[in-house]
Amino acid sequence: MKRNTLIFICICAVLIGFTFIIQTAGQVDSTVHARWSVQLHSLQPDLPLAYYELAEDVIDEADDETALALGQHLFRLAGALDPMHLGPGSCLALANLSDDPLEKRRMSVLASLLTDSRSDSLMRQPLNSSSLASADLSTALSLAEAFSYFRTGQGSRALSTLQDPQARRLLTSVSHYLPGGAEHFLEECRSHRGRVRPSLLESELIRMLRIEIALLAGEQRTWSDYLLVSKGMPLIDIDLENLGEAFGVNASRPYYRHGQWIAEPME
Amino acid sequence: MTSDPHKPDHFPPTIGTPRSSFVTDRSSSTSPILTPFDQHVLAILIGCGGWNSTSRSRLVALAAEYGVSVDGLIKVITGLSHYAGSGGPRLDVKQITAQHAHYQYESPPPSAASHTTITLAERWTPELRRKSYWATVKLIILFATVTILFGVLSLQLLLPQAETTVLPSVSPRVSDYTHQSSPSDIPGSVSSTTASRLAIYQKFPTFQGNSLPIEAADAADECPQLPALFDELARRLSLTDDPAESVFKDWEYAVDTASIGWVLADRSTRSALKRGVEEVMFAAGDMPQVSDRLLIQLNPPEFRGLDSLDLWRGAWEVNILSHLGQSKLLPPLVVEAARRQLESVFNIPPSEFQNEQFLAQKWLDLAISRLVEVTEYDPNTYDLWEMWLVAQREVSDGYVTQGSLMRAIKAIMLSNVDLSNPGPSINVLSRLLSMVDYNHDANVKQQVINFFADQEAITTHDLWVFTSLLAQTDWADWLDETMVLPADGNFAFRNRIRDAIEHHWPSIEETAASGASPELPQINIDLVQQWLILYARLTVELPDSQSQLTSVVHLNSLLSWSQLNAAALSLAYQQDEQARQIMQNLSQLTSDRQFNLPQRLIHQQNQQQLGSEGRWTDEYDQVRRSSNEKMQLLQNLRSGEKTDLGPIDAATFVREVYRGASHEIRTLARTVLIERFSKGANVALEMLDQFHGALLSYELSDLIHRLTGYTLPPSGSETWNREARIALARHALELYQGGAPHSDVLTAQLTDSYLSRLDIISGSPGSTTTVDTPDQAVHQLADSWFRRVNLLTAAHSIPADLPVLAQRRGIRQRLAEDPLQEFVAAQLTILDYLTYQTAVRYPDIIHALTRHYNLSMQQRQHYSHVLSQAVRVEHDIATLWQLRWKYVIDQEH
Repeated sequence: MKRNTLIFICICAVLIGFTFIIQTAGQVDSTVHARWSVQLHSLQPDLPLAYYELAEDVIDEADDETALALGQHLFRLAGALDPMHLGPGSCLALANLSDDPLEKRRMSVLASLLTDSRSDSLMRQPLNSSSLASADLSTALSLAEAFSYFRTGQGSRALSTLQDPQARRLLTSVSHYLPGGAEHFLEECRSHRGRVRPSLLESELIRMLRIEIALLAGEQRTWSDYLLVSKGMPLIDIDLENLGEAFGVNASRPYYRHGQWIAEPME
Repeated sequence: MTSDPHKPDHFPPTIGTPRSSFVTDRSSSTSPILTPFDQHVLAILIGCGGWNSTSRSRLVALAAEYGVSVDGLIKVITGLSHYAGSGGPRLDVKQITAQHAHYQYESPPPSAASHTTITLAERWTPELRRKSYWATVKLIILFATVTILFGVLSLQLLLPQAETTVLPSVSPRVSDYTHQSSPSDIPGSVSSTTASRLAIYQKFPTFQGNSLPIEAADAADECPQLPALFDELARRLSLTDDPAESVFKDWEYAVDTASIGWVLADRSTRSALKRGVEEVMFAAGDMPQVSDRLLIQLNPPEFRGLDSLDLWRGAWEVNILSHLGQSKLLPPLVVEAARRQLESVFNIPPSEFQNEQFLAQKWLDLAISRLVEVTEYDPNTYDLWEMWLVAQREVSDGYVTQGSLMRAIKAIMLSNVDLSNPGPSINVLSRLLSMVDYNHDANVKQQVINFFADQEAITTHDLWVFTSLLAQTDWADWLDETMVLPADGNFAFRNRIRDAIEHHWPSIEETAASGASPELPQINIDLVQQWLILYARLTVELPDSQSQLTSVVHLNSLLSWSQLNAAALSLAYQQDEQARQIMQNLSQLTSDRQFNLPQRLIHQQNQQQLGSEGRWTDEYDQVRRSSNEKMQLLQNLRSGEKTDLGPIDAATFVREVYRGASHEIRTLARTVLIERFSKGANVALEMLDQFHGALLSYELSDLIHRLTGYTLPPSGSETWNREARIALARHALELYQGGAPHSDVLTAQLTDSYLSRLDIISGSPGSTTTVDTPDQAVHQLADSWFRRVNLLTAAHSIPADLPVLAQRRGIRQRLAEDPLQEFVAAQLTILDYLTYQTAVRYPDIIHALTRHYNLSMQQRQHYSHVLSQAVRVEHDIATLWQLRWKYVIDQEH
């Protein structure tokens, strides 16, 4: 009997504990929104600047993921509701807040497009931002020569060539493709001097040759060359006719009521 | 008029035997067998109360309905009356009606003319039959009057008058059946007989010129040899800064030959010619005076003095200049010079040059005014126009654009030539009109309407000819004689005809929705079922957004989907055999292995190395001071089978190639390199790694060219160093990999797949211009799709209006950072246009299309690799076909 009672008490305690945890989490969530509740309730879609300013305030004071998410949502709404004036700023803020490189790039591109659409120059210059694809060819040549020096056991000359900051940056940008990375390569250069040639696996040699060709080929790159230098970055496809989709938000739900974003307020 | 139908006096004498199968047998008590016609005749007689004017008019209509002549009708009635008079069995109601519902018909109300005729005949016939003096006089007067009238009419007919020349028309539309149109048929039209309004020609106007001149045929035969000549010219230009005059003469010859032979050459030859020109210009890129002189040869001919071959010359030259003006391979100076030349020809800024085909087409359109000017008096006018049509077809994916046709038509109608007179102008006009699409092209409709609005420029007389030609043919089968503008029609009439044409012009979406599209005829359901099975199979293998497959795997998947879409396109264009072949190949590919790796290009090489590594180096180092012995050691390498060297020996050997102590040693080492070690991987790598610091010279440049096969720029150029290094690196890589990379092989196959789709949609295999990469091929395919959807007018634009789709395309192209992203951008354009076209053709599935399109847009945002994104988009294109085929199959069932 005593044992059964003990078991019963333990189970109750566990249940109470779970309930407490859930409530606390809910309270935390609602606490975040509760802090901004008044401002959130006062948001009107015909005053998009309020969304933007509130987003900045939320982000400034954000100390957890929930607040961060709220701030991002507010930026998205601000951008979708007034793309002309608040769009570029919102995009840049979102790019800054995101950890996803693809999302960063997407928001940067959207900011550029919105800026250009303001000046009616949507079709003007290409937004080519790939650093590898547009790398200076003379820098690429320097890096290629560094590879040759390395392979022929002239590590010192390789290092000397790589003292150029641009060449060093380029080496870093192709680090993912070098056996062991850029740092390992530099180490190997230090080790192989006096014409002591490194022992390279055929696969490693092939990789070096491919990256060298990809960097040097410039406009004459083949698809396989481009796949190397661009790492297969996907196309950012933005539909300016559907900015809600572009900002990743449902702009038809701009009102905040009772913890939810809705289309029309009941009052 | 008595109502007794049995009185024989009221019937004209019978001629021949009665036509009906009516059988009388007085001796038999059986009833006669009545044909339906007999029954109807009886019914009319009974219903109208006998033989009277009402029954007569109805009987005439009945006879016309059955195709019975008046004589035949009379015979039938006579036969019936004989039966009645002979006392045969009574015909009861059942026999008369044959238990059918009473025949209902609407006879046309008796016209005033027929009534008068009958009255006159009834009045005068008895009198003229009388054998009296006065009756004879009356007959004389009557026939004399008729003779005189006939003579006057004959005189009028015999005099030449264009409006009223009546000769047998070749068109079945102009019949001798007089139709009185109801005034309510045409808004605001005047009811009149229309047969006399048409402009009719003794021989229906058209023409056929010679589109195969001997010079062009000869030039086409020589075209396959021209790429080699271009290569030679490029080589000669790369060797010197001051090329001989013979270089320019050869260039002139090659350009002239290519420019008149290209039309008859196949696609690969045309591509090779374009590449050849580009290589020559690349070789001359560092010599502005030379390149300018070469470019001058590509200037299109002046329009004054144009002959038929000049049309082909001009189109090709403009196409080439446009290609050079957009080249990313040529030096900026050459590109700029090409653009300047084009700017001076067209007087438009380079920003408005759309693509190579656009400018070539524009040039041919500019030639229209010259062609129209000389049409009436140039003895070769038909050849000129024929060559123009051929050139237009060849620069525009196999068809003459409707815009060009309408421009030419308008130009002819604006000319001062009287188109009602037979002659070259009307012949050309008629031929061009026969090629216009009067059912599917909204722009054509608008331009035709504008003809009527353009009162000052296009005369009513010309519009009369225009509408007459259309009314006499089935080119615009909805346009009949009632919409022919009279030659002397006033402004109000002109507007009425314009409104009538606009009213009757088929609605583009109705035509599309009815499935009456020239691009989508009846499909082979069995093959479609096979296609759907393949689609399902490939969908199972579709990688998800985050899959980390290799590039080769993605490219294989992309190729499979592209082939499936090529099969779909073949089915849509009723190229069943091609579709079957593609699906068989695809089925084989997917069943063998999930992702087949293509065969590498294996270089046959003997990698056997000489002896033990380093021994030759030791020997060479020992004789360092003796040139003769060095030469001997190098000679020793020369003998034997082709091999490679070990890394140490390769390093020593290549050092001599680059920096041998004497010219003789270097020369010998280079000879040995080419003869024995051109396929040696170690030697190739050393050639790359020791390249830096090598003494630049023509000989070295030539050596690298012979070793690697790559053409290098002149040794003095800024890019030589980089280009030479790339050539050596590629050479070494190919040897180490044992061939070209898998991805490059697959890329080439992908290019071919897209080109095959372009051939299907253009209907003209081999009509594409130079394309080396998949992104170039898909870009051209997207252009081709645009030209097709541009002909459509949608009631509901899905996914968006055409201008919005064009803007999206522009934005995507701007966002693309490399050729792979450009490829995806062009794929998305195809997805847009195919969605648009499918929605127009099959409005019933608009909701499904919209859902699919939105889902596609959402999902492709999550793809983290450009190749997986490309595979996804290609799959989404295939899904559009799947939705279409499923709908078609459902309709069939």
